[in-house]
Amino acid sequence: MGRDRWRQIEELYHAALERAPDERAAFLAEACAGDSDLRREVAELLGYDGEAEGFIEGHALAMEARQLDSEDLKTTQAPAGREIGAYRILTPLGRGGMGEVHLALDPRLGRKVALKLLPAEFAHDRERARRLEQEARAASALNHPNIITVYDIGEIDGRRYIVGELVEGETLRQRMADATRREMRQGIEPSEAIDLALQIAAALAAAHEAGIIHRDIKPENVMVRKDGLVKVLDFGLAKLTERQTPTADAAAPTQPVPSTDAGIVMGTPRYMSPEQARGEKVDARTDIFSFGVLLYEMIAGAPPFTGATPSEVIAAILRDEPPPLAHYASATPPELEHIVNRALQKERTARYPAMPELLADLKRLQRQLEREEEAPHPVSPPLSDVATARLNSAAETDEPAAPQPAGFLKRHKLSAAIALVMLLAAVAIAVYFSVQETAVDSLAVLPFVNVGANPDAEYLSDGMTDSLINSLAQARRLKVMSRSSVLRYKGKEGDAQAAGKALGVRAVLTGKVTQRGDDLIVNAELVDVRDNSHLWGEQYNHKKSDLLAVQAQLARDIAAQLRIRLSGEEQQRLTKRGTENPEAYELYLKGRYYSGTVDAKKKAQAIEYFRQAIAKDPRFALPYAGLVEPYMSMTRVNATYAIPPKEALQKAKEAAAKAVELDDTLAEAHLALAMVARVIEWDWNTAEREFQRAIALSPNLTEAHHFYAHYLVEQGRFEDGLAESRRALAFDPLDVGMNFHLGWHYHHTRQDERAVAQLQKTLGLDPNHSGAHGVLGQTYAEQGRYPEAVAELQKNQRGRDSRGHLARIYALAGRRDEAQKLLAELQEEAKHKPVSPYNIAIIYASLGEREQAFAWLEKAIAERDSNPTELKLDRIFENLRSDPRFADLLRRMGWQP
Amino acid sequence: MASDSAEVTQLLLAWRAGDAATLERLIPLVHAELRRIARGFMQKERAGHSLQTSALVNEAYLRLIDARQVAWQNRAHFFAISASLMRRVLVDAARERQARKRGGSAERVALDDVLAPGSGKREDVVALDEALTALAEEDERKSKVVELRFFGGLNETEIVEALQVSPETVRRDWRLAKAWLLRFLSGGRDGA
Repeated sequence: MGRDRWRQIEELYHAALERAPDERAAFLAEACAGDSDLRREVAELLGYDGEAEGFIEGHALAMEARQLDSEDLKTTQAPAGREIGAYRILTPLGRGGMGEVHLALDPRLGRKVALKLLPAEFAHDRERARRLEQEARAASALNHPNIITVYDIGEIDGRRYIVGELVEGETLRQRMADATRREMRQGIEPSEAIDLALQIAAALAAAHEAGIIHRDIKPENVMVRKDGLVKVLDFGLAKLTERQTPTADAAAPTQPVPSTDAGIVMGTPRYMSPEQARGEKVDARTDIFSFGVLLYEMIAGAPPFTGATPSEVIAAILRDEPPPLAHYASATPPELEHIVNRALQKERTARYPAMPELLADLKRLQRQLEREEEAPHPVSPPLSDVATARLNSAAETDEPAAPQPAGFLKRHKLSAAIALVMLLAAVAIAVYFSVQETAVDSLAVLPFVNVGANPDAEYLSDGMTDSLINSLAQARRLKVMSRSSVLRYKGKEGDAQAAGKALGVRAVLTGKVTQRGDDLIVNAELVDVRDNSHLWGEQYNHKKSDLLAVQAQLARDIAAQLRIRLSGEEQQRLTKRGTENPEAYELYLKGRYYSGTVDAKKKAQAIEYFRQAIAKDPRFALPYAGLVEPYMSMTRVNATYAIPPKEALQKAKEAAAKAVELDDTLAEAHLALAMVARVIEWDWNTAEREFQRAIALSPNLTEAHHFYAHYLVEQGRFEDGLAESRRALAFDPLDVGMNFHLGWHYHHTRQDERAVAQLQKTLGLDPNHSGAHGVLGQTYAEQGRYPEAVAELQKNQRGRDSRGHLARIYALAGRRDEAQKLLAELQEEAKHKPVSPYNIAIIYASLGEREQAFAWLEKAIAERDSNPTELKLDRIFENLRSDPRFADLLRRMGWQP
Repeated sequence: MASDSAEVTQLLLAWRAGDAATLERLIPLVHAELRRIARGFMQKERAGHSLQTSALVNEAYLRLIDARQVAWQNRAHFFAISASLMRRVLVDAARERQARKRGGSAERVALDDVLAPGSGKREDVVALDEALTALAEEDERKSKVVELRFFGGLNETEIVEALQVSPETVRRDWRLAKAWLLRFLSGGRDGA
């Protein structure tokens, strides 16, 4: 049927429907006017309209479900998934002394859970049932990252069940077996073992504080996720298997319990404390003993107390001293030996009195091992820094006051050599096993989407993106696209693969942040750009106050997914956030969000937020570093000073100094110091040193490359500046800031055609880049293309006062009165608010009024207007250059004219 | 542990990206899930709960598609991109069921249909699919409206958003499409 014919039918059909049913026939007869086919067609369809009641009103799925159902009623098949309470069992995960564990689905939330079905006998004992509920409630209230979350408990067909968080990973038992099999070693590598032990200890400490004793600490009850996060399971559950009154045969948690379910595999008593083995009443110190057994086994690869039968094991626990760890692992630090010994004391009064003390000892040991590891293997800072680092570490390790100097590697040179050989073998094997999967070496974090588009929550999504970029950029082996490179994908959800290809990276991370009241939901997804395959995805549901934890977790998860090997220091920096105060961090993010804009009013707001962040946590270095830019911008954003420039610059100086004082390893702090030295102090040596320091600390911090390159050009070191720009651009070719900088570079080195091309390219990346419009206008002016120059300068000069340059172009174009008009305007403004003297000097110089030009340049220097740093190369003052007063200005700025 | 929905979604993404072969791997995965959804639905329906269709569809998507993996702007957008997949999946499942019912024979007309012409096909997803394909040849937009609503589960507002047409257009399209489809299914003009 032709389109027109169909349109006709459609029109008539709807027109007829608008009429009462009994009028339709007459209407059609008239409207079709002899075209009987048309009339019949429409009438026929109208007839079906009457039958259409209920037709396809439901969903296809419901229709198909009814069909399936009517057949199933006849065939009587077994139901597909067994239902337990509200949960549908998917697959069994395993069984243990405490019952069967299943992977199950909670259809209400569409969430996969772990469902543990307890032995039947629990249900018959009301007292036990009550205690189970009590314990589950207490355990779920713990809310600790290393303790598994309990969602629900219930009863079905006389059996109790517990529903908990599904942890995807392996048990510590499996992890230890892996170490033996894959890494050809007994026990887990000490730094990893200590990391795992610390997390287990933290879980126990939190539980003990809440009055909950685990009673059954063993490798089967510890899950290790792929990213290394530990989750301790079954808190307090063991208590339920204990008899109400201790008897002679001492029903300990892992002893066989009377059970009607014959298939249950019982555990061993290996991890029991002596008091448990004797059937005595236990307290939190029983967990300390069991933890000691666990730690021992992780390092040694063998349990401390062994025997052919459970009763032999119990005898060993009560009687024997375990062999020293050094017997298995010769490189064991004495401190570790000490910790294990103290935990394994038979008399509980001789053990650590409580978990926090043990935790503190473990942490100290971890720091010590990290220092040792770092000292002989500096990563790649400039030579002078390596030397300093060596000196520092030597000073620390040789310090006589330290009773247990760190160097067990030194004292056991031979064993260290053996350990190294073992390590190399392990690495070789690891490489062999992972040969198929080449690690992702470059990543772009696309701007996280602010779901709901609430502008007040924008700082959260932006802040999260920023923080992730900064965190991940700490990994030297990972190339992370800068913030300005990825910024153009903001608000453009879509093809992550295409974005990744454009950015030239292997993987792309996208994310969504949803804020609902106090709840924060973060979805993140990692895509392999080569084949658009989904590498990883995760949803994080947290309270907003847990923002810090979410970010750290996200960074860790991503690093784990990318299989980036991080040095201890990098690992630390990856999750570094500088504050434990979530409010301070949130305020800092708000500050960053506002300081990233060009609007002077928002810059003032940024200052306010950074100040508030500092008020919440005065030891937090990042907001101090953050303050420097908005304060200094108070001199650039000329027309809208919020505070007098002198005062602003003083505050910038103080903030930068404070940031470095608080955290000397913070790249942002050193960059801030460099900027202060460059713009305010004209202390070129300090500026250079601090730029280099910032870059060494965080090679991916593009702002540092950008301003360092800028600084080099200002110093007249064009080749160095170009090299620095090229380095940064080779790393990140689409970085808007660096592209603009290169255009600026060409402009000032008088390569006008290149400058135009480069600035146009920049504007292709970001059509609203006010700096690029400004410099392009200036370049056009140099080429004598005045109308285009004026047009550029009038484009999008948000937050910039381009009137100086604009007036100059008018002057060059012979439109002197227009230049005069702008000059008068600026001078009028200068009467009641600060105006950039440099801008006024530009206009006087362009009008040939040398005396006034010099007078205003003097003023610019006195006020530390930020522009004079370009004085040495600024083409605008060409006609003043031969004047001795110009040479004098340069000299006073620390330059040899 | 690769969850089914994660796998389904990856396949879905690959399929959308143009990898037609993935559909073959996708369908069987979805069938099992679909049967479970259908049973759950019927249990509730028999128990006298008048289950909202939208809730059913939500649940289906939740189970079948791991939404976290899909870049989607909103529910409408997500459902819209998934509607054609849902159609393929359901139609395929229905075909399989019909084949099983007839002991694997390729006979196309079910006994029910012979006994009560018209009424059977009204409830037949496979027949509807064919009718919809025919409608698309006549008027693609109307066919799309039905697909989005019947297979995709979108409501009127969401269809308006997905197709960028006025609500009035959606209403008119829906009404005419239904009449057209019914005529087709009854073996009327075009549908013989």
